[in-house]
Amino acid sequence: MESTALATVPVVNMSAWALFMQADIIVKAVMIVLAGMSLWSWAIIFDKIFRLRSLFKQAEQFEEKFWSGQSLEDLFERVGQRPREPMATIFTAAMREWRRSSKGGVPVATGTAMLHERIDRVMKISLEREMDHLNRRMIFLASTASASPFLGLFGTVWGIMNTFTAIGASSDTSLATVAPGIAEALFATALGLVAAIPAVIFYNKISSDLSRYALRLENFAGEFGAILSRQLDVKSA
Amino acid sequence: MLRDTPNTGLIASVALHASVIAVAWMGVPFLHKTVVETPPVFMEIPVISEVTAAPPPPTPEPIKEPEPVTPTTEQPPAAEAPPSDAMPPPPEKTSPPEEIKKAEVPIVKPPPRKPAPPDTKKRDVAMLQDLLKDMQKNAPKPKPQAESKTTDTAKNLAPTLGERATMTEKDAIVKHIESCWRIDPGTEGVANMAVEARVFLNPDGSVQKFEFVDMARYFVDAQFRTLANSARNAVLGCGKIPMITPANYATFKEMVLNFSPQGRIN
Repeated sequence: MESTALATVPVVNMSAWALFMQADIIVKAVMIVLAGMSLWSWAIIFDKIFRLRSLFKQAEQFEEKFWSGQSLEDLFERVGQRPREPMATIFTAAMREWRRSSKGGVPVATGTAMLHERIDRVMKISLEREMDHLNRRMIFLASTASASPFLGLFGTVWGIMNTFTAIGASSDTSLATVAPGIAEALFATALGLVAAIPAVIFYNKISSDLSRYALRLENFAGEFGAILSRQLDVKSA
Repeated sequence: MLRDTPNTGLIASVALHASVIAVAWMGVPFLHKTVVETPPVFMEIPVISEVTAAPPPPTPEPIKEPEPVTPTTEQPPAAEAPPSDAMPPPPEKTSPPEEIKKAEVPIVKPPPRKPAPPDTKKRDVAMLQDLLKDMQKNAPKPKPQAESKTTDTAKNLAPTLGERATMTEKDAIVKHIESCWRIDPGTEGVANMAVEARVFLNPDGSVQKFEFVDMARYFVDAQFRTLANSARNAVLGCGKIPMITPANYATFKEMVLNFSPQGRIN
C-alpha cells in the first residue's frame, strides 16, 4: 500500500551531477564533449596568455640588446645557434645568410642587390614560421566559440525530445514529471555557453595580441634589413 | 624552442575546472556567513513517546512542597533532576531567600524583649518556648543559605538553558496543534506517511507562513495531499499559539513540524 504511494513520487534531485547522471546517453555524450572542449580551450587560453606575456618581455630585452650599440657579430655569437625566441630567430636567420654569402665567395659587386633580397626573404620566411607556430590551436578556440553553443543546443533538443516522448508514454503532464527532463536538457545548453563564452572573449584578446606581436616582429625585420642593406652599400662603395 | 603541448596551460585549466566544480558542488564559501540564523525547531506531531511529555508536570510539585517544610533532604535531587525545565523553577526558588529574610527579622526582634519582662514564670516559660522556636528556626537557617547558593548556580545556568526550546514548551505547542488536527484514518497508506511542514510565526503566535517541505509529492500524490491539507488546516485553523511569548519567540519563529499519523491511528 505504502509502496505504491511511494512509487508514484518522482525523485527530484536538481544537483549538477544528478542532472548529468539522469541524462540520456546522447545528451551525456554531448555534455562530456562540451566539458572536454571547455577544458582544452582553457588550457589553450592559459598557455597562450603565459607565452605571449613572456614573448613580449623577451622581445623587449632583445631589442634593448640590439639597440645597445654592440656589434651585430657579438650579438650573433651571444645568441648562438639555437635562439630561444622568435625575434632572435629572425635575427639569427638573417645573420647566418649574411655570413654565408660573405664567406661563400659570392662576388660583392654583382651580389649586393641579390643578397639584400635574400636576407629579406629569409627573414620573412622565419617570421612566418614563427607566427604560424604561435597561431597553432587558435583555430580550436575559434571553433569552440562558434560551435559549442550549437552542440549544447543539440543536447537540449535531444533531451526535450526524450522528455516529450516520456510524457506521451506516461500520459502524465504534471510539472513534476516534465520539469526534471527539461532541466537536464537545458543543462546541456548551459554547458555549451560555459564553454563558448570564455573562448569567444579570449580568442579576441589573444588574436589581437598575436597580431600586435607579429607587427612588432615585422618592424624589427624591416629595421634590421635596412641596417644590413646600409652596411652592404658601405661595403660595396 | 617552443613547447608543443600546453602543459602549464593544461594544468591551470584542470585546476580552474576542478575549483569551479568544487564550488558548484559545495556552494560558495563565506558568502552567507554574515547571516546568523537560528535553526528551526523540529517537532513530532503527535509525540511518539509519552516519556518526554509526562515527567515535566509532576516535577514542579515536589519542589513547591518540600521547600517551606524540610528543604535540606528533598531539595538537592529536585535541583539536579530536571535540568531541562529550568524555566519554571527560578520564580519559585527566588522566593525562599525572601522567606529567609522574613525569618531573620523575628530573630533580631527577640533580644530587646529579653530584658523587659522578668515578671512571671509563665512568661518565662513562654519566652523559653519562643526561644526554642527561634532556635529551631535558626537551626535550619544555615542550610537554606547553602541552598540559596545552589539556586544561584541554577540561576546562572538558567539563561543558557532557557535560550533553547525547553521540552515543556515544545510539548505544549505540539499538544496545542495536535488538538486541532483532524485526520481521516481511512485514507490509503496514511499510517506510513508523514508530512513535514515549515511554519513561520509572528511574534503574537499567529502563523505568518506555512509551507510543505515536499511540494513535489504534494502535487503528485493524492493521499499525501489529503494528509498534508489536514496538517495545514490544523496549523492555520488553530489560530494563535498561546505559548509564544516574546522571550521564546526567537526559538519558535521557524518550526519544522512533522505530522505523522502513525502514533494516532494505532
